Amino acid sequence: MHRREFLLRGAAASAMLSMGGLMGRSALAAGQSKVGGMRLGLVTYNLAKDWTLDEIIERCQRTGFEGVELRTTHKHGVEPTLSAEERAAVRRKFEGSKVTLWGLGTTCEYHSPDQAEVRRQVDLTKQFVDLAADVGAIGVKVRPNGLPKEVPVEQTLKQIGNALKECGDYAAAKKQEIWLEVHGGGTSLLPNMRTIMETANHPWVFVCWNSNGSDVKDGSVKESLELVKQWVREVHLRELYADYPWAELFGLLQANAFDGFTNAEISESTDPETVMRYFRALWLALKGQTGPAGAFHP
Amino acid sequence: MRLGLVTYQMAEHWDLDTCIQMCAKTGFQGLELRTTHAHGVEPSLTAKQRAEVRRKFEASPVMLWGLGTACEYHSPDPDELRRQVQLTRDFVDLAADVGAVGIKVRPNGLPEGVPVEKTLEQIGLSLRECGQYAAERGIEIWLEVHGHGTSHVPHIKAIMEVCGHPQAFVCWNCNPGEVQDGSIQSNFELVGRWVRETHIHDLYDNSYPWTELFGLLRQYGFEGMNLLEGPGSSDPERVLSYYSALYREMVQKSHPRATAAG
Repeated sequence: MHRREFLLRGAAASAMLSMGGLMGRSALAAGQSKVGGMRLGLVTYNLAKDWTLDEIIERCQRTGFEGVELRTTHKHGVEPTLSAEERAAVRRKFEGSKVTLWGLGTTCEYHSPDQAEVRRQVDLTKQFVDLAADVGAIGVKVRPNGLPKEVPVEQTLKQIGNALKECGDYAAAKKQEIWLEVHGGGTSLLPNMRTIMETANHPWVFVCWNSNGSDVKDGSVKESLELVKQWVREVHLRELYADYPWAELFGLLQANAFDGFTNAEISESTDPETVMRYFRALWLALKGQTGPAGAFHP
Repeated sequence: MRLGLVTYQMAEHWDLDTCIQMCAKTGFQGLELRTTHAHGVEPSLTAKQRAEVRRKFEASPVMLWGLGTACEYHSPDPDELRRQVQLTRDFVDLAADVGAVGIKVRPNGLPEGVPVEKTLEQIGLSLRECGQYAAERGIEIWLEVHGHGTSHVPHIKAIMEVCGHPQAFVCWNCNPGEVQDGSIQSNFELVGRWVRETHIHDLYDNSYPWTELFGLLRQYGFEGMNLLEGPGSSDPERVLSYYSALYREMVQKSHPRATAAG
């Protein structure tokens, strides 16, 4: 099965879950084994911000990272300004590699009280969706980024949700997913994320779990994740040696038949390949895979 | 069992304060200070300098586990052998003065033209002499599984049987040649009863069965130190932080193995 087809099947299954809610997920879990399982990728912000596309692909291949989310504004330069020819070249590079172009990390946000700005951000999102379709990505990451003080919270959440719905409609026509990052002052609170997702209510709109410290209550993320788990399709991971209940998160994702990408969003390093190798080994160990199945021979 | 750091390579250019601070920040509980490195804990230290080394460790959460010497006892030249034994004694005195638990020594090859059994016996007898000296000072001697020919684990067993001294132990060095059909069990069991420290390497490289090793160590009731002996890094604090976290996950998930030694 081609990688793209494999991933789209995962997307379709996730869309089913989103539409069917808990009952749908239970039915799927009972009648169908999970596809693939969680995978490891890299967000180029910030470890790879100064790498070319070739360097990103080569380093991911050498260290066992299976996918990448290309952050906008970085050296690799996968931006809406690319020509058709340049987009085809990006697609070819990934198709000729073992690395999946998982997504494009945008900074599109929909919380502004200025409606012209919201329109500009929605239009930019559509441009990134077009780009993602052209370069062969699975989706684009967007974000809420705060709650304007002068606007009632519910109004902003509804505005973000409605903007997402419009983006989702556009993305669905291009078979692209939209991932809303758990991000921003006030907006990163999970009850608010849930409200946004309920307003959006779109089968192509998902959540990017961002592994924020504020997710943790009494040492656990279970209560926070429970609020949005039906939509989680992507995860941003931080330094895995840092104090966050990683093993619990991985267990909860696996119990929820998560088959998306968990992407390392970590800071720059002067020794990136060693950091990536240890990141991957610890990722495998935390999800309970330390034996030969997790083998990686440098 | 505890996690420590061998200064060889990773910390060869760090002074003693940096070694201690880096270990404390990254979850490493002990240090084996390799001879010839920047931290300079050598037999040439004065009594005052030795006291200062001891004081630095006593004031820190990091244990001075050992001194990594290059003392070796395989030479067919009796003068060289005597020099090596004397150097070992100097390191034992140093270890006692700075508050270390022991010193690491090594076999380092099988000289051509000398029967293998003779060299193994010579190393074992030298080790016994060193063990006797060390015992009087409460210091342990750890023989590294090292050297061309001598790192063959049955040869290490032969050396340890000749030695027969309760203060002489083995430093399991995690060499690739020990792995047979993906397992180290048969080799480890030859010397498991003497293993008091290990040198562990890149834990992301699963061509060595790390979790099996940790399970075997548990099985043998190992209470010593597992020490990272790895290449240097330009981002050492982060690499050590990952190493420490990965080590703990692996140890936690390892299970005691059913071994012949029980």
